[in-house]
Amino acid sequence: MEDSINKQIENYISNSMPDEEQVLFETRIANDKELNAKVELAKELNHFLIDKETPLNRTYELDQEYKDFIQSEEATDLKKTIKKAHQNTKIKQDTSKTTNIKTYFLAASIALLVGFLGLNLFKDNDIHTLYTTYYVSSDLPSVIKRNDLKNELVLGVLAFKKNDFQKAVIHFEKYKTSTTKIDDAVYLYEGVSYLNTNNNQKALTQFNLMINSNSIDNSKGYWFKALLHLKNNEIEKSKLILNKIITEKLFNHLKAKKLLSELE
Amino acid sequence: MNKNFNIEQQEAFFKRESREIEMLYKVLLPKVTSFILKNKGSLLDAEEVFQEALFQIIARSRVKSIKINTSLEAYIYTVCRNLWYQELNKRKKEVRNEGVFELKSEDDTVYAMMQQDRWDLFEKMFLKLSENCQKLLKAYFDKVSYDRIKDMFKYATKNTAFQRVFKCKRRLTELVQGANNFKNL
Repeated sequence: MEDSINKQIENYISNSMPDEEQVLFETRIANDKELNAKVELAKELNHFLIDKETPLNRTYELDQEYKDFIQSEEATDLKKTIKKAHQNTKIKQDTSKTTNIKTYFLAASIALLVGFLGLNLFKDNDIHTLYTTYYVSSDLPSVIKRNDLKNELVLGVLAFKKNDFQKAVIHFEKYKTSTTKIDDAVYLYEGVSYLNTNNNQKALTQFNLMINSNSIDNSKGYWFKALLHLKNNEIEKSKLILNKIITEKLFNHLKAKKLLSELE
Repeated sequence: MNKNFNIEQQEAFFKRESREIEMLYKVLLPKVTSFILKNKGSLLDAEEVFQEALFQIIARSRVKSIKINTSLEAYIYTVCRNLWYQELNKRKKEVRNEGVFELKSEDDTVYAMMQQDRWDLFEKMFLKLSENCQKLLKAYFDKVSYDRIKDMFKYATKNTAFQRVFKCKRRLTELVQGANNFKNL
C-alpha cells in the first residue's frame, strides 16, 4: 500500500501521471494533510538531489529561537565583526597593490615599447567582433528602483537601454548636479554612452571618475577603459589595462585573461 | 597556507575570531564571486551573499549545534550557492532592483537559516545511503537515461533501473522522516 502511494507520488511530481488521474490525485492532496506533507517532502528531496536547484519555497512557521537571535545584540555584534573582517581584508589587499604597481609599470613600459615598434596585426572587423563579444551590458550595475522612475539617473538608464545615448547623457548630467550623494554607477553609464557616440575623451573621463570613486565597484572602470581602447584599436593600451585587471584580480579578471589571450 | 581549515581554525571561526573570518574572505570569496558572476550576479552580490552566509552559519551554530560533514570552506560555499539560487528565484518572481541582494529582512534570514537546516539534514541522510544508492541517485538526477543507468550499473532491464532508483529515493525519504529533528524543521 505504502509503495503504491509512493509510486503515485513519484509519478505526480515527475509529471508522468495521466491528466485525469492527476486531477483526482490533487483533490486527494488538498484533503489529506499527511499525503500533502509526503508530496511536499518528495518535491523537496528532488530539489535537493538535482544539482543547481535551491530548496523549494515552502511556508514554514518561523523558528522563534532564530528570530530571537537575529534581533539580539549578539547578532548585531556578529554582523559588525564580519563586516570589519571584510574591510580588513580589503585594506590588506590595497597595501599589497602598491608593491605590485612598480612591477606592473615596468612590465607596462616594456609592453608599450614593443607596441610602438610592432605592427598592429588586427583588422578592424576583428576588433569590432572582439569588442561586441566582450562588451556585455549586464556588467553595468542596475539602478532601476521601484517607484523611483522620476529620478534623473533612472531616466538616463532607461534612455540608455533604448540606445538613445545623447538623451541618456543629458539625464546623467542633470542627475549629477541635482544631488550631493552621487550613485557612482552614473560614471559607467555616462562613459559607455559617450563611447557609443564616439566621444572617447569624455568616456575616458567618466571611467576615470569611476576608478577614483569610493564605490565598491570602482574597479569596473578599468574593464570599461580596456574596452574603450579596444574599440578604438588602441590594442597596447587595452592590453596594459587588462594586465592590471588580471594581476590585481579586479572586476572581470577572468574575462580579461581570455581577452588578453585573444589579443596576443 | 593549507586549503582546509583545521579543527582549531574552525573552532576559532565559530567563536567569531576576526583572523579566521579574514582568512575565509581571502581564500573563499574569490571562488564564491566567480560562481555568482557566472550566474547572473555582480561583485556586490557576491560580497553580500558571502557576508550573509558567514552570519547565518555562525548564528545557526549559536542557536543549535550544526554538524559539518565536509570542510568548512566547502560548507560555506554550499550555503553561498543555496542563498544565491534562492535570490535568483526571488528575482524571477518579482520586479526588483537587480543590483541589490535582497535576502535581508529578518524573516528572510530566519527562513534561509531554516532552509539550510533542512538541506543539512538531507545531506546527512543522503550520506547514510549505500554508496551504490548515492551513485544511482546522482546519475538519475544528473538526467542520465534509464538505458544508460541500466548499462552503468549492470542491471538486466530498464525497469530494474527504474525500480532501484525508486527504492533508493524511498530509502532516503525514510531516513529523513525518521531523523530525530525532522519534525522540528
